[in-house]
Amino acid sequence: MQTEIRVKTESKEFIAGLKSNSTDSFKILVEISRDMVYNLCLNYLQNTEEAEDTMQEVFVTIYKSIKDFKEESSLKTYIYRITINKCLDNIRKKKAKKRFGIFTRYEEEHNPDFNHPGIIQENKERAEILYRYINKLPFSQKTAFVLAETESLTYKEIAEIMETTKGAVESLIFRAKKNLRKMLTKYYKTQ
Amino acid sequence: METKKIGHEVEETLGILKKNQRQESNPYTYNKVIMKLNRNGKEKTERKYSVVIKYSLLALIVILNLITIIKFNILNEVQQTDKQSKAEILKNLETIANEYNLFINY
Repeated sequence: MQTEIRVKTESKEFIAGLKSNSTDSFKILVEISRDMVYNLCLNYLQNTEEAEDTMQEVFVTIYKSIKDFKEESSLKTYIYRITINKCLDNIRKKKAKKRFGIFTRYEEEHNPDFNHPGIIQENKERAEILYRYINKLPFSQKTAFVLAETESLTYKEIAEIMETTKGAVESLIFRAKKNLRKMLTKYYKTQ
Repeated sequence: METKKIGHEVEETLGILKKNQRQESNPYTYNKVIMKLNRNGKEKTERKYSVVIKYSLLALIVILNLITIIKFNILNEVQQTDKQSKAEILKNLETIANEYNLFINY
C-alpha cells in the first residue's frame, strides 16, 4: 500500500496537480511525507517544537515553489533538499540571536533545548553528547552524516540531495566520523 | 586498556543514531499546515494594509518635514529683511539728524 502511494506521488499527474496548486494533491503530499520531514527536522534540530515549526515552513515553501521543480530529481529528493535548507536557516537564525547572549558559551556546551523523543531512554545521555558534537561539525559534514545515520539513505541518494558526487559524500562522512571520534575521545578522556 | 575502553565507548556512541525510533508528527501541526495551504500559503495577518499605512505615514512625515523647512526659511528671510529695513531707517534718521545739526550750527 505504502509503495503504491509512493509510486503515485512520483507520477507525472500527481506532480502536475501539485504544480497547479491543487489542495487535494497537497493534502496527499503532506499526509505521506510529514513523518519523513518531521524526523529529519528532529534529527537536525533536536527539539520537537522547532522541528514542528520547521515542518510547517517546509510544506509552505514546497507549496510556493513547486512550480520551479524541474523534475530532474525525484520529489522525495526535492523535499529532503528543502527540509535541509529550512533547518539550516533555522540554525542560522538561532545562532544570530544567541550571538549577543550572556550564556552563549554555556548553551553551546550543554544544549538546554535538547528534546528528542526518538532516543531510547538508556541511550539518552550518550545521544546528547553525540548531538552536541554533531552540531559542531561543518554543515555539509553534519548533513551527510545525519542523512546516512538516521535516514539510512544510500550515498547515491545523499549525493542527489546535496547536489554533489557520491565520492564527495563518502569523503564528507569519513571526515565527519573522524572529527566526531576525535571530539568524543577527548570528552571520554576527561570523564 | 584504558585507551581500548575509550575507543569502545566512542564507537558505541557513534553508532547510536541508528537506534533512534521514528516519530510521528503532531496531528495538530498537520492541521495547521493544511490550514496555511488553504490560505494559499499566506500568513494570517493582512500585510497589504499594514504596508499601505506604513508608506502613507512615511509620506506624511516627509511632507510635514518639508513644510517645516519651508516655513523656517520664509520666517528667516522675513526677519532678515525686517532687520535690514530697520537698519536702513536708523541710518536715514541719523543722516537727517546730522544734517539738521549742521544746519542749526551754521
